[in-house]
Amino acid sequence: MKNKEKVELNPDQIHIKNLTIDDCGMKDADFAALLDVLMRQGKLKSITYINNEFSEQSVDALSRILGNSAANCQDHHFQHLECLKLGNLKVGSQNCPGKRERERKLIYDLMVAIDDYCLKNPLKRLKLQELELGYEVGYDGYEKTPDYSTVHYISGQFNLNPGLLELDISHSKLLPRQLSSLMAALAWQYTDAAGNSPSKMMM
Amino acid sequence: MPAFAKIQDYELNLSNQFVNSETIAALSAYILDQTELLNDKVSK
Repeated sequence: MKNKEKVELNPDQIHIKNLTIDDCGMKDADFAALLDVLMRQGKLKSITYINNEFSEQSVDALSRILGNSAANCQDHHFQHLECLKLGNLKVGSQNCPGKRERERKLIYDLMVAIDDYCLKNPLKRLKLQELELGYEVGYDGYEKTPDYSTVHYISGQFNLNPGLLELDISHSKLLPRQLSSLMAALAWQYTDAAGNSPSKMMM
Repeated sequence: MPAFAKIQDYELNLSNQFVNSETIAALSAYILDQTELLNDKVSK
């Protein structure tokens, strides 16, 4: 313990506000473990996670961070997540029957967590690149809800997120009709009296 | 702190660094340990 007390403690080298993990060969469980530790600090403002493995544990940990941040929205000492960038991720880890449905469930669960979070704390930057957002029906184990998709949540971001500065959903395999839905939501924002709209949008 | 990890200006950037379960466990333990020490120091 004495050795620990000799260490020079510098908050800017301990508190982590920005986390960037790009092409590290990071496994799902390891990312989840790191997120759980950082959640205890309550200082994260930005998460960028690209070119790594992303599966059930990561989604659960990310949901916990979003939920924890939303729960502490009144605490001024608590930093709130403003930027979430996920891209080119290896979603799901095994080639087995039902893999596609599990991937869809993961993305769906992620979108629900983001949506819930944005009810209290709007994200300023959201990137969901190369995640399959374009499916239209429910997945196995859940009630089939035709014509319901993650695009519904993306569209909802325009309403929930008046401060949204950047939205990147490029390479998300959106269907033409879903694009129309997004455009309609975006157009609504542009005609909104408040004039709120993302300043940068990539599809 | 594990040699591959640098926390600077409140940022942890692991880009293009190969990590595995052992290195992440070590990094997590370090962060947790230092956070508790800092919190103890602040509360005193």
